[in-house]
Amino acid sequence: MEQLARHLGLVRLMMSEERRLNASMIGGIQFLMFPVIILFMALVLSLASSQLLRSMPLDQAYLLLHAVIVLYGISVGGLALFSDRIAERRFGQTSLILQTPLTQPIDGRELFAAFYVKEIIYYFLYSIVPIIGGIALSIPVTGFPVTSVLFLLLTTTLSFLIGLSLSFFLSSMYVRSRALFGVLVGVMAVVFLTGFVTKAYDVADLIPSIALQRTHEPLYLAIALAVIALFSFVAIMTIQVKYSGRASERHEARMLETAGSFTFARSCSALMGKDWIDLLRSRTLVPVVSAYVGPLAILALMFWFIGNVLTVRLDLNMVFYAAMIGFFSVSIYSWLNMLDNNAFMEVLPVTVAQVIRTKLLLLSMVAAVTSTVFLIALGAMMGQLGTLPLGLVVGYVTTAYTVTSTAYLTGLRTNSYLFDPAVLAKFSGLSIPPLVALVIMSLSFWMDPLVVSILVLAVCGVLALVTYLLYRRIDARWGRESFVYQ
Amino acid sequence: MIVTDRLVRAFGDVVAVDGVSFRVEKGELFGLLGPNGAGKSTLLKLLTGQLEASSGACAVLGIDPSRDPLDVKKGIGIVPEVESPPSFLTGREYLHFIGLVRGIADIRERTEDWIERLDMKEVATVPCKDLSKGTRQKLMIAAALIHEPPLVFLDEPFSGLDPRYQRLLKEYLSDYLARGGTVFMCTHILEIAEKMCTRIAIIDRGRIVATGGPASIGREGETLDQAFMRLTERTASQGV
Repeated sequence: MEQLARHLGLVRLMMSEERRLNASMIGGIQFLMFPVIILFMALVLSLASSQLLRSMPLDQAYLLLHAVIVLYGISVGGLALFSDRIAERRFGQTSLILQTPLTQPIDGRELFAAFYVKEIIYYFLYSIVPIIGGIALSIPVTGFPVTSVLFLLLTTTLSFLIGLSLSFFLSSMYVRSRALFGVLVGVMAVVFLTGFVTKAYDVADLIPSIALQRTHEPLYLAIALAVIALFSFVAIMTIQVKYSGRASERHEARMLETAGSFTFARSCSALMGKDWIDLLRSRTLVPVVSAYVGPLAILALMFWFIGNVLTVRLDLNMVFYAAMIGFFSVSIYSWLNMLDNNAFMEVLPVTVAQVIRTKLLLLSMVAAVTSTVFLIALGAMMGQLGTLPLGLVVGYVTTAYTVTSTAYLTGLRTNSYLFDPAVLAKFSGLSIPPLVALVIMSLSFWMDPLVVSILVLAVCGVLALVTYLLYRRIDARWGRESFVYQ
Repeated sequence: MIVTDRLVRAFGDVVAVDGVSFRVEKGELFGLLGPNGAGKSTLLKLLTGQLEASSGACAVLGIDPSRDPLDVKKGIGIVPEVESPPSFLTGREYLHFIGLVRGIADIRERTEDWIERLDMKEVATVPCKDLSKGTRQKLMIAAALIHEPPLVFLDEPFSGLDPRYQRLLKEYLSDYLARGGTVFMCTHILEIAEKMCTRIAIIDRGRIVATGGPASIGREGETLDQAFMRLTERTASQGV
């Protein structure tokens, strides 16, 4: 009992810490506005549900919502992969509760368990509750039964927790043993593929929260809770949290030579050399590329799921994926901003704007190589190499546009500022209209390839112009910004 | 070298630096003393272009740091309050990086000279994130002085250094002053201020409450320690 009280106390303190940290970075009101915006969007979608449900049956809409929430849970649950970085996470000169085991008699695992619970509560309140809250607010107009909405809150929460705990569990296994991780993922893939190919069982029912939504059988509730508890327990018990104290690596001096190979970056060559060394020595290059290609692979998987499991016909082509890869490039920029604490630059004759430009240049290099390889591979697999040149233009331009607008709006604090509703609204205003335009054009590509290609290139021309203008404005926007959280 | 006139910096309702006026001449080692939270580091950040002033005027090497922070930083060296060199560069690489940023032609030679001087050969190949606090502090000192600026700002420069390196830094600073350099230093260590500084200012709650030579800043027969306690007594008891 005493231990539980201590654990809950830790969770409460971490919640306060998270709230204050976010509020200090983006402002208290902005921090609270984010869930309000999600709630509003869910409300609008719910009010339009009678129209939406004409083209998609309710059962499929539920399925899609749960699939997205499971994927969301998976995307935020890979805690074990980053446990060291989370444990040593610092914001400028701010230390977090997670660093307490360095100086106090508390087990890192116990603290990480509290952190896990905090993450669950935080994402539940910040994402799931506003989504279902928005649906609930529409009840007077839509007439959704209250019990159905409450039941949806239960099943979506379970879906989120299944995704989160599965991801946490798998990442813990990955850190312990790559072979075991491979076996586990292989078994899961075989189970899903067997169901899909043989139709011996419904693949969707393998996720107990979806089965619960469909059948209302209490057995699935019990299974869902058991699965979540099992994944979480094993993940917590096996997680390896290392605090400082590892053996130091040693490196020959590479700074001058590395900067020398970036002389094309002129005044930014030193900063670029430093970032490149950071990228290699922090072993972040692979996660950066994965964060770029990964969401696209998930998207491809999701459309495969919708097309093959839900049997909704979708006609996707290179332009569509090229546009998407451009818009997913924000994740690379975000990663580059997390490489190192830039506070030491505060005392040097260097501006935040210079560092932003450096990261944009470095990102262009990584993105150019990755997106070219990805689009060539995708083109070959889809038998659409004829549209590769157009796909490459779209990929390069949307990447430059999205990342430059992100850099312009968020500077070096992308993760924090994208939680600022004002910034998020501007970002959405800049990114969604061109994305929607390109998606619509890509879906109608085969109706008249020549005309659509010209239209796509025209959109790319406008995006390139806006990119140039925003790039030019970076100095004015970020030139006087501090490297330190004040 | 440094001139301030009724300099003010406020954070919301809190006035961290409140109407500060003083001058520092070439060749001086000017010490800024004060209790925790008195405004020492904020004042240093205002002078070095790390913070913009709310009001008042200030010139460092004839440049307004609020207007041209980059130009001020080009001309000076700064040891910040917290030692935080880049995580993944080694000590040697960090000094090379400084050389590139500041356009120092003979950076390899200067780097080896500082590594030798501060006895950092053993750790010059270790990433900064794995270095001890004292070694990181030595690196920050080397990074601030490697381009031999005419004016340096030191915020608690002796923090984390063992007695041997404290002595070495004192000797270096004496030599630097003899060569015509100017130092602005924030410190808690009254003994160092008393022995090294040519002039001292005591800041309390954002205001300069006394200035003068180490021997003359207090009342007749009063030591620097006694003068400091008397001038900051009320704040200290409130703080505790």
